[in-house]
Amino acid sequence: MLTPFQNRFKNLCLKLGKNNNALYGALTIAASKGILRPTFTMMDKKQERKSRTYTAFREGFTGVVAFASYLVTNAGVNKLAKHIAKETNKLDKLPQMTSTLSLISVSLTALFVIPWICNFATKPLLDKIQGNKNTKPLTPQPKIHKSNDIPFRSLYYGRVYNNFNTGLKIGGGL
Amino acid sequence: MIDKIANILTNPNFANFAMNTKYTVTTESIFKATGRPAAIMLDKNVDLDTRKYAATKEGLYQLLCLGIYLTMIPLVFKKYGFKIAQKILKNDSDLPNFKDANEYLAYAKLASRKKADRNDAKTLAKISDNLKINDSDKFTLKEHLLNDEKPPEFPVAKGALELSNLVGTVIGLAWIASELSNHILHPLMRMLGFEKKPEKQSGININS
Repeated sequence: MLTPFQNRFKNLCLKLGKNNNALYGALTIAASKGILRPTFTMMDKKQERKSRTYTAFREGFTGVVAFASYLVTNAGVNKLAKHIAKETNKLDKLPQMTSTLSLISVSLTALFVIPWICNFATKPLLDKIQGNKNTKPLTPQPKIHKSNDIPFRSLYYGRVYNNFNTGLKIGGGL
Repeated sequence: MIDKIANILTNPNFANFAMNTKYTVTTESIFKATGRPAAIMLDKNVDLDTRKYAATKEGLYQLLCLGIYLTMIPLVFKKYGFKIAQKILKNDSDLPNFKDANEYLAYAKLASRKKADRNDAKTLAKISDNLKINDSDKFTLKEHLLNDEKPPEFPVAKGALELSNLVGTVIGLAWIASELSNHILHPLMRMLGFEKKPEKQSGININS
């Protein structure tokens, strides 16, 4: 006789074992990076507070964009898979079709959709938030650096790249 | 045309690939490692040096995270995740007493083949001779493999592995790999000539 916890655990394993989907992995990464990265960034006391807030915002925002993008594109995948399965009389193979299409959709979303949305939305949104707080906006500097200048800093898509002892990190993207 | 698409989508190799968390996370990370640097390089509003720096760093970061994640999955999550699942579902016939995840994977590999193709001595050797679903079963799993047209499948065991990989994605990829890669990234960037060794100085105030 299984306990309620064992039952839930078994059902979860059964679902993943029968119909695992690329979406689950993508959503897990988006959610965990979207929560963990900003948390770690805000805990990094070596960094100036404003920079921390900025970086954490960008990381969290990318998480939200990624999570939402995967969900939206996957909704289209489910419809498309059902349509193909119906047209080809392969409704019994619908789970396989959905899984394969889901992987394609997740890959294309990661490749095009998320970078595109982040490129267009992060900086204006951040500028707006900072503007509302009456703080000096982070604006790109015209001639930023030569590649070997130390320290150098620049703003790229609202992202600050500086030298490595300041605590700002790249790769908050999901 | 639509039939051809359906055949590709239902191809067992593709479907198995798409249902494996490790493979899908790997695929997604590779796309991110190429898509993000490409998006950075396409932005003409930023000077070329900065774009090159940012694109290289982003690509390296994604690849480092992936490398660390793929190293950790078999060493930690596959090994211990499966054991923990077996402990939670102790004596449940849906998750027999495989000695480890590799033994289950060997079994699943053979079970997915046609009966005639299962007599693969090398893979069969990885499965214990007296392993049974439970005590009431007359036959061992090896006998099921060799004699049954459709040997029992264990989706709970497969799901336990996928769940371990998902947990590994949170702990390994989103947390540990992210932190570790930041320590490896800077020496790599220095090797590539994008950064110089830091001089002792205070942090930069971005608003100064």
